[in-house]
Amino acid sequence: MNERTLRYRRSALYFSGGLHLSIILMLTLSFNIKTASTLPAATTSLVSIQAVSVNQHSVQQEISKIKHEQEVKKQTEMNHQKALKRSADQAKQERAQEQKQLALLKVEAAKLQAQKKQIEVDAKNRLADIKKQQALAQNQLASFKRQQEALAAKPKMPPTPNAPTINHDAEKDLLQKINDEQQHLASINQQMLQSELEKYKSLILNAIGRQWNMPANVNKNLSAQFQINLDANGNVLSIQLLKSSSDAVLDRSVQLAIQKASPLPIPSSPDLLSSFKELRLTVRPEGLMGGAA
Amino acid sequence: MRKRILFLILPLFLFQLTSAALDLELTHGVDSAIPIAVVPFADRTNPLATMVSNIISADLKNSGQFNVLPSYQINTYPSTPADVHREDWNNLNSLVMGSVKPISNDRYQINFSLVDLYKKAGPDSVLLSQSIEVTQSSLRRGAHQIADMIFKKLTGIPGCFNTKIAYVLVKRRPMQPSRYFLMVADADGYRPQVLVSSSDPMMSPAWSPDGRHIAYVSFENRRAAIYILDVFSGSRHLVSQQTGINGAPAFTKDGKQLALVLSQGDNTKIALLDLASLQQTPLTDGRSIDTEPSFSLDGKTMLFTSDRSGTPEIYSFDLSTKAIQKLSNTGDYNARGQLTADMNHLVMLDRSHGQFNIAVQDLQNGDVDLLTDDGNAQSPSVSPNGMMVIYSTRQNKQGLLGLVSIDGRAKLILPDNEGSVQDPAWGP
Repeated sequence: MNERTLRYRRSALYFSGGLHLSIILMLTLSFNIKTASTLPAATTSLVSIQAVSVNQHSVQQEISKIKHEQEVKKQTEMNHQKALKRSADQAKQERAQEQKQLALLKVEAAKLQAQKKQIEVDAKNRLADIKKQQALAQNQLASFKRQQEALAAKPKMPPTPNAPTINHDAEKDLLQKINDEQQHLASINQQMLQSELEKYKSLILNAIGRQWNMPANVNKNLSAQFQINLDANGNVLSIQLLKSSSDAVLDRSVQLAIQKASPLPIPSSPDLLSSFKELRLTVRPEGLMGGAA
Repeated sequence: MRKRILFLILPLFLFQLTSAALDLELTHGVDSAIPIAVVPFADRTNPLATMVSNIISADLKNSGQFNVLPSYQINTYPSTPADVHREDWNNLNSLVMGSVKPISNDRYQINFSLVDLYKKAGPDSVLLSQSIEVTQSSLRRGAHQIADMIFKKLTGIPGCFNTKIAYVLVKRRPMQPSRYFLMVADADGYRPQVLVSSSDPMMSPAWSPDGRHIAYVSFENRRAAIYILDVFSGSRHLVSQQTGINGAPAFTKDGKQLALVLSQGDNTKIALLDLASLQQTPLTDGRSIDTEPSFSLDGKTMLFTSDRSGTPEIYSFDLSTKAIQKLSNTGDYNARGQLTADMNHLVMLDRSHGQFNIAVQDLQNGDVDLLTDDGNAQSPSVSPNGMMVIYSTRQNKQGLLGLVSIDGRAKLILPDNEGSVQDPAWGP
C-alpha cells in the first residue's frame, strides 16, 4: 500500500472511533439524565410526604419532652441549690455558736486558772510566815537551852540562907518558858499542817465543782451526802451515797462529777495523806461557779 | 533535874491529825450541756433506721440541754449495750443506740438503749432499754417519744418533742387574693396539715389543755369572730362575735373557760367566757388597753399585757384575790407574757431601741436575758415543759418560725413552707 492509502485508513479509523465514542457518550448521558430527572424525583416525593407527616408529630413530642425535662432539671437544680444554701447557713449558724461557746469556755478557763494561782500564792505566803515564826521560836528555844546549860555548868555555891531560893525560882521560870515555847512551836506546826489541809480541800472542791453539771431547774434547798474513798494517788476507789437529796437526777449528777474529777488532787506528805483517804462530801446546789447565781 | 529538863525537850513534830473522814461542802457547779452521742440505728442501710436516730439526735440537740457528738465523729456502731467498748467513747456521759426492725407489712419495732458511760459495763449502767411498735406513718412519732424518754431520764424534766404546733400560713400570689391556712404540724415542723383554709385572715390560734380543740380569730364575716375548732373532727362553732374586737383567746387550765379580748370604747378589756353557758364575766377594767391573756400551769394566775402605766408591760392577775401586779420593767415595751412550767420564769416579747426580741426574766432575782438577737421576733409561745420557745420572725420579707431553748443555747429556724408563717402556738 502506499502512503495515501495509509493516511486515508488512519483518518477513517479516527473518524469511526470518534463517532463510536460520541454515540456511546450520548447514550450514557441520556440514560443518566433520564434517571436523574425521573427516579429520584419519584423517591423524594414519596419520602418527603412521609417524612413531613412523621417528623412534625414526633418533633412536637420531642420538643415538649425536652422542655419538660429541662424544667424538671431546673427545678431539681433550684431545690438542690436551696438545700445547699440552707445547710450552708445552718453550718454557718452552728459555727458561730461554737465560736461563741469556745470564747466563753476560754474566758472560764482563764478565770479558773487565775483562781487556782491565787489559792497557791496565798498558801505559799502563809507557809512562809509560819516557817519564819517557827525559825524564830527555834532560835529562842536554842538560846534558852544554852542559858539553862550555862546555868547548870556554873560551879555550885556554898548554900547561903537565901541563895537556894533564888536559884530555884530562876530555874522554875526557865522551865516554864521552855514549856511555853514548846507549846507555841507545836501550835505553829499544827497551823502549818492545817493550812496545807485547807489548801487541798479547796483544790478538791474546785476539781469536782468544775465537772458538776447542775441539773436545770434543780431545787436549791435539797442536799445530799456522799462518802468518797481515795487511794494514795487520789484515784476514787468508791463513792457511797450516804444521804440522797430525793432527786435522783441531782444525786447522779454529783456522782458523775466525782468520777470525772478523779484522780483528785491530794498532798503527798505522809502526815496529811492519811486524812485524805476518806472524804465526806455534803452537796447543796446553791449556784454556779464564778459568782453567777 | 537535868534529866527532867532534857526530858522536857521532846521532838516537836509529835502532832498528828487524827484521821476521821474529812468533811467537804460543795455548793457551786457549772451549767453546761450534757455530752452525749446517738449512734446511728441498725441497720444503717435502712433509711428508716437512720431517720429515727437522726430525729432523736436533733431533738436532744435543739433542746439546748445536750451537746450531741456530730455523726461524722462516730466510727463504731454498737446497737446493744453488750457491744459498747468504753474506750471508744471519751468525754461523753451517755450513749444512745438501737435498731429498727420490720415486723410485718407496715409495722416496725424500734429497740433502743441508754447507757451511762461512767458506770462499769453491766446492768447498772443501762439506764433505759425498751422496744416500741409503730406503723410506718408513725415512725417519726415513735422517735420523738424515745427522745422524750431519754430527756426525762437524764434531766428529770418531761420532754416536749412528741408535741404539736399550730400556726397560720399565708400564701400571697401576685395579682391574686391571699389565702390563709390554719395549720398543725409536729413540733419540729414536719408533717404539716391544713385544718382550715380561708380567703380571709385568721389569727391567734390557742390550744385547749387536752389538745383536742383550737380557738382562733377569723375575719371571714368581714369582722372579727372567735371560733373553737375540734382538731380531730374538723367541726367548729362560733363563741364570740361582738361588735369591734374579739381577739387573743386563751383557754383556762381546766379547759372550761376562755379568756378573750373585747373592745370597750377606745380600749380593750379582758373577759372570761364560760364555754358551756356562753356567759361572760369581765376580768379587767379601767381606761387602758388590756390584751394577750395567758394562764399559769396551776391555773391560779393570768398574765396579760396592759398599757395602764403608759407603755405596754406585763401584769399578773391573781384569779382568786383579783390582785394585779406589774411583772416586767425592762426596755420600753413588753408583751405576750407567758410563765414557764416551773412558774419561775417569764417569757415575753421585749422591745428596746426599736428591736423586738424574745426575753426571759427570772422571777426570783429579776435578771433578764435575751433569747434572740435578730430584732424581728414576734408572738413567742412556750413549750409545755418550759424548756423551749417557738416564735415567728422574718427573713427576706418572708415569715418564718424559730425555735430557741430557754437558756438561749440552741437556736433553729424551721424549714420554710410555701408561704409566710406567723402566730405559732405550742400544743400541750
